[in-house]
Amino acid sequence: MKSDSHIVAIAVILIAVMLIGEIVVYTSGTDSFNADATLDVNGVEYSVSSSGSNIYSVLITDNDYFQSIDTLYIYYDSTYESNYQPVTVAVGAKALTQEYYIEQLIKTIEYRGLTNIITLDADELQDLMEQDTSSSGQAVVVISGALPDTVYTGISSDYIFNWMSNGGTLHWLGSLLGSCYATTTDIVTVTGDYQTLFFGGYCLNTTDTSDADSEIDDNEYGDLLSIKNANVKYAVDMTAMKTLTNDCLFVGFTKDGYASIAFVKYGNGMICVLGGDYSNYQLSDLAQIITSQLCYSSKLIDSYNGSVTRSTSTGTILATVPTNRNIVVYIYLGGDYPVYGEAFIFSAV
Amino acid sequence: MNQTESNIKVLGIYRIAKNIGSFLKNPIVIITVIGLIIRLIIGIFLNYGYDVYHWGTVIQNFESGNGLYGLDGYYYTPGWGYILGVISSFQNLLGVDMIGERILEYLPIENYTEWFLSANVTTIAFNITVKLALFICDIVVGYLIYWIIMEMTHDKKKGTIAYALWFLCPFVITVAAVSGMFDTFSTLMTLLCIIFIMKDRYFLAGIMFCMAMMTKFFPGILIFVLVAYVLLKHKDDIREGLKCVGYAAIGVIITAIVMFFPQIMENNIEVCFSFLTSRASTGLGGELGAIGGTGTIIAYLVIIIISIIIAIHVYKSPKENANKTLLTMVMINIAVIFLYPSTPQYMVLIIPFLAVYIVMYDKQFIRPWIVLAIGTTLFSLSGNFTDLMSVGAFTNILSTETIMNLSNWFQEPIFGLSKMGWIYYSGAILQYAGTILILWTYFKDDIYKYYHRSSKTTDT
Repeated sequence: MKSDSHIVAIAVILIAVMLIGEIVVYTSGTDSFNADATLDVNGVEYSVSSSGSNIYSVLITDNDYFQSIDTLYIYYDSTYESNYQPVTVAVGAKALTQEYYIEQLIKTIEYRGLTNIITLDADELQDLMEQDTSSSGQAVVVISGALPDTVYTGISSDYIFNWMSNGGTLHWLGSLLGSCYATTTDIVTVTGDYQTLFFGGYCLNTTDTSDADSEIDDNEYGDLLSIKNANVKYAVDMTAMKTLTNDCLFVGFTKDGYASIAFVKYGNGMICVLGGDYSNYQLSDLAQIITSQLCYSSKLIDSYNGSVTRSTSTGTILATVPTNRNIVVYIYLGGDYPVYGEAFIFSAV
Repeated sequence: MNQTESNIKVLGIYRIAKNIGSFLKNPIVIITVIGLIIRLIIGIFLNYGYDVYHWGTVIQNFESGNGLYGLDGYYYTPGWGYILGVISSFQNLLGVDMIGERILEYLPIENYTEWFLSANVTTIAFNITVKLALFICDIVVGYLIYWIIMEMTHDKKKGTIAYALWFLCPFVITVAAVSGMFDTFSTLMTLLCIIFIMKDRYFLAGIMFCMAMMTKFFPGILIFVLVAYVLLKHKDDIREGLKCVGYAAIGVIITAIVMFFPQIMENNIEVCFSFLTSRASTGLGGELGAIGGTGTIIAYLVIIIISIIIAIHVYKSPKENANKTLLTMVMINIAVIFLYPSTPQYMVLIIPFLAVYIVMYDKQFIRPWIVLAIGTTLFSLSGNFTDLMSVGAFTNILSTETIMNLSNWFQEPIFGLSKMGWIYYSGAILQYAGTILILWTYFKDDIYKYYHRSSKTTDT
């Protein structure tokens, strides 16, 4: 009988591969990475560490006087109707429901550095928005496709507008902003001029145009932040918006003048609209723009792309950095496959 | 150094050179070198991005601290995910710092309806480091095939032919080198399980069976045949047979606990099986998804019933031919599993058993091998010029524009179906024909006999 010891050896190696792999998979995490940045008038000194091998990007952004997000709220209320439209996902994938989208979004934002995230129901959202105090630093993400009637019913006195005027940021996606609102039993279509309520005029994509075919060339943020979602359904028309206000920024992809991501000033706050149906690309973009603290007044001062392998990479980006403004240094690793991110916020003196 | 010492040294060098020479002339080595060169060349230039970019996403997800299932991207039982863990460590060691990039020029391919294509393109370094693991696995599978033949026939020639039927099989090459799919790993574990069962190492067999099932689920259906074989071997002492099955079961349970440990702790083991439930649908929710899901369940119930019938046949077979019966019935059972239409990579599982059967028992089975080799290869290459997207994005050999022009040309219809569709469907039909042909070649004599007996009975 032939010896099978080498066959046993093959099996042992395979078992070892599985065990080592399992340990790698479940011990990997953001502890494997680190980043730091300091700012002075001559520029930014940064350091990036990785226990593996990763590309990284450093972006220095001047946000003017717009305050960075410190608390992120996500609206979700299962007792309210939602306008969330089911989408096709890859074979084998879990259906991208509203609940799953939110679960994924929270995890994605957390590993990119923002951990102060709170989920609110319709009443809690009202509690947040009805307060007539500064809401700077607050941002609300609405995935449901319809704001609840506790904060929006299609009239200018709704709490949502007051909250944004006081500095709050609304991140919107999945349908035409303001076109409807939700009650506990229905989705109610707004018959009035909802676009003017939010934007001061008409600018949303109500056409069939959806698949973008080119990058927005106003700025480099799309490329530098690895923006992925090339869909402009429900998106903001750049030309129309620019005729209404100069306080806007467009990022990502475009088709027929619509921008896949738009930031528009509203009072002391901001509206951010992400185009397209619900998707993982859109989810990744939403996490990236929130954690990078992008806003309507963002101007890229400078950026650097590098690579780090099992070490710490340090560098200085020489640039004229105004110290009397809100400056954000966003460092993330992984490029189009981000694995870590952190924003360093230097507020105006 | 005196003359004698000098002569001994020269003789030693001569012997080493002679050994190296004879090693390089060994047909197995020649086949391995040829197969590896083909794999490396194809693997560098061609890549089915939709699957491979998902491997990048899986690595991204666990590197960000979300394990295999915390973020969307991994839809299988955990085996391949753990292997990707080792591959990612290897990539980190080699300095593969970039997984891939989303390429603007390729965005239009995401609008090709009915195809799974993505503008997310992985780098050539990433692709080849993933595929190297698959190539190594291909070699080990080939060695096990050779070992089985040698164990049963002691015929090197037969072993070499079987090795070539596996290692140079065109679609075994394309599944690893182009698709970057990991079915070769579950094939390896299935073969090890079968070898260990044949060698009465039941605990190890159980471990390998569980690992195979945790990598791709299909080997799991072989459980009935495998149990029947163990009981057949111990027909004289059924208690001993059951004891052996028990040892294997302990191996399975321990392995399952270890591999599912993170999901057991998180109490969400169901996430590991989404691949199974949505295999027939395209992940659509609502009624269509439900129909697809129900269809899958019914189909697999039928397959399980047939597998049990095959197992009963194994148990009733003569004990002295137990090994032949096992190897044959595993091949037949796998063919039955794939009567439910499969994608190209799944067919990798059947090739080792087909190769063994061709060289050991019936050369007629070369026909289905040829049909599969053509059909499944076509099927797995139906991505045509989109398979060149990594080359277009990360080298100067071809421009992204050229690749898009060629890919668009393949989308233009002929007789109502795109050229890509013609390749895809003709490949799929041929692959299915190959599966049917395996069953037909095996059962045709029985069918003829049954037909003639029926005719005679009717005449009488």
